[in-house]
Amino acid sequence: MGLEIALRGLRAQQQALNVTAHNVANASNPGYTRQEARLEATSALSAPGMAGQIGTGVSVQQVVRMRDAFLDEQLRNEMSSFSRYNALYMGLSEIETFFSEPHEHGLRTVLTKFWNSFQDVANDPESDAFRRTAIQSGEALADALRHARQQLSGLYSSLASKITERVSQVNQIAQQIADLNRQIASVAAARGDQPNDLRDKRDVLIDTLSSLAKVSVTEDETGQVRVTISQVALVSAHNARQVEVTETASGDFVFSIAGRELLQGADIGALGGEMGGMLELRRTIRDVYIQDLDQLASHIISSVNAAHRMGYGLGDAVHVERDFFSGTDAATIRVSADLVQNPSKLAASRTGLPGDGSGALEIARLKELTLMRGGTVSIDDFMLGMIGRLGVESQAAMRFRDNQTLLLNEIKAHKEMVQGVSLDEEMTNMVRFQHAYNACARLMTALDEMLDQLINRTGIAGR
Amino acid sequence: MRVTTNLMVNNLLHDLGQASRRLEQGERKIASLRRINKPSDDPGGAVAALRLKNTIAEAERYISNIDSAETWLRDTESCLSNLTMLLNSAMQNATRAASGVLPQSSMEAIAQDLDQLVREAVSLANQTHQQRSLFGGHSTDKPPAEITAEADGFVRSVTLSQDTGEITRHIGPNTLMSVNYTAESVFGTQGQDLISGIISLRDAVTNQDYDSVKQIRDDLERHHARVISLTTEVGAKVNRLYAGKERLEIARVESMELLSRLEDLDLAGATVELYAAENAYRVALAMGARVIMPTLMDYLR
Repeated sequence: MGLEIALRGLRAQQQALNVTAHNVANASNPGYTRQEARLEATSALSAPGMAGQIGTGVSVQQVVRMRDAFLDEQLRNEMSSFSRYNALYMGLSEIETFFSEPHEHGLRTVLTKFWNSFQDVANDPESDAFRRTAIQSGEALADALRHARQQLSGLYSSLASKITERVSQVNQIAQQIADLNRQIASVAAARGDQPNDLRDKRDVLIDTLSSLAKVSVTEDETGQVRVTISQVALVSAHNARQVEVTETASGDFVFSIAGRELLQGADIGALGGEMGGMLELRRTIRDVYIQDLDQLASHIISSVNAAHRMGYGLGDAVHVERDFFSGTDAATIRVSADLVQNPSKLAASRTGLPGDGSGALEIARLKELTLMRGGTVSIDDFMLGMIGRLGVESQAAMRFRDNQTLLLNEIKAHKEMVQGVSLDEEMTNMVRFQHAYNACARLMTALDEMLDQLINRTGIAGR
Repeated sequence: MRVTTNLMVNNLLHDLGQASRRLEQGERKIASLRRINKPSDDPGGAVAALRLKNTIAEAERYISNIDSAETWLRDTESCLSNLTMLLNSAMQNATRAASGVLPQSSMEAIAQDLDQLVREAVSLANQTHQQRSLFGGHSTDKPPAEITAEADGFVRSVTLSQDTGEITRHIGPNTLMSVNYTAESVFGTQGQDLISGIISLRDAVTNQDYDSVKQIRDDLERHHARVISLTTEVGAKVNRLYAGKERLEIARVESMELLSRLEDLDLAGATVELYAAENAYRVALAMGARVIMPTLMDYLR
């Protein structure tokens, strides 16, 4: 009887020590949840004629995972908004570098030089050198616009491939979660055990998933989770479904799961996570920055050309309508090849006479006209507005991201407090279990001595 | 509160990260000497700075246009004052000739002198400014006055350019100034111009037609008054340019001051901040090293 109790004690302490060993070994594993062996006294016997019940020892009832589901949900929510704003901020700050304002090599400087070069031609209409300079500064302006536009388009298309890559990552994770669901359910059903480490694995996957898109997770009584993205199930029990991507005519991506569309509407970023952020960024690039840049370029092209067509080139006897720029938007703007080859054909004059610079002056003075945005803004101001908007949006995204970082750190610290391994604690437990083990062993020795006394040394008289 | 090993390590890493980020930001500010390095550092400030840069660039542009207008007008002014002197000597000659007491030889000498004045007037009319005819309107490549007939060593007739093209300079926001004077506005309408006046004076002197001499002298007097008033006008224009330039210079300097206040770094403040950040980083490192070192294991047998 006593021997059995001691044996149970030894076994239980050993098992608890095992759990401690598992904790210590995983101390620096970020996805690991601390486990705890729950010791419980085994059921006592009632012995008639004796006071109270007779204890039968101890056993490990369960090994529990120290985790707070509420914190998990909070972390996942904040994680998906962090990833959303992070993606947005990274993209916007990249766009900031495209315009390289407020530095000396920005679009503003190029534009100013362009206007100034026409002033030079107006002051010196007979000079060939100033015409060449004006054409060069026109090319510099065209280059700067084309370059910015190209970088924007590059970012736009690289986002598309990034998004499809993330979608396949989501699909992969969904499959893995479904597989883990099956394993967890079968372990729990077959042996009634807690598959703690499998759950940890699944939680890490769900965390990763929530940094890609906003998900909501519910767990059923068999331990399997159901994962939904904007109310459409991605994983339920051990079935994983695939997210599919289609592109609309306007160039937006539409996600759907088994034919059901996910969150379409004004707030495209509401999908959350990195994917939501990238979708939002992509739409902003297309509808705001590329559009504004194109509008700027096409306005420069049309107004400069209209003024240029009315003028005469140097030595023109008859009026010839020539364009200064070719192209229609920021992607195609160039100084017309004709002028590059014959700089003297720059139409500085309105009369055909060499001393008349009024044509060039007319072009230089286009900067004074407020013809953009329905006749309220000048070309320079339109550009400044674009830069200002970029600054404000980028700063806002950065603030959101920084706020989310703080929140996230706070929640992570809380989670760590609940589920993290403290080495000091584990060492203390180790000493505790070791002592208990030693004591059980000593108990066994004592019982052994008692039996020895009873069997071998008692009743020697009869021998 | 349960403090776990990872929690301590994470907190330490987070704190170290924050401290080193502040250090990096301070370093970057000081290295660039700018408060604003990208629009999101201060969107309002960045746009204001760009606007100021535009204002400065515009002011510089207008100042350079004003300089160009000024050199043109200065050349015009010196031409006009030479023309005034020329008219003075023509009128003196007329006065001497009109007295009627001069011998034939003196009258011939005066006629010679007047012919020289005609040629001088033609060369004044053809004055250039940086190889451009001052009085030729838009035909700056052609001399506006041409001697069309010469006989017996005398100039017989001169034609003046009819080009009335205006040459303007952009001297301020929405402000244009016309800087050129056409040949006819300076010398008079073709036919009644002062050059043909001097030519007919010379002929009258040669013919000893005293009445005509007196009459032409009065004509020249009127031309003289006109040229003087033109000179005054040019002077007034130059003064207007000066005033405009002064204004633009002030605006430029003020904008530069504003820009520097907006964009430039408060170096002393930034340096102090950098030192503070460096200190914070050092302290975080030292504290971190102490915090993560000891565990219970150090004290267990």
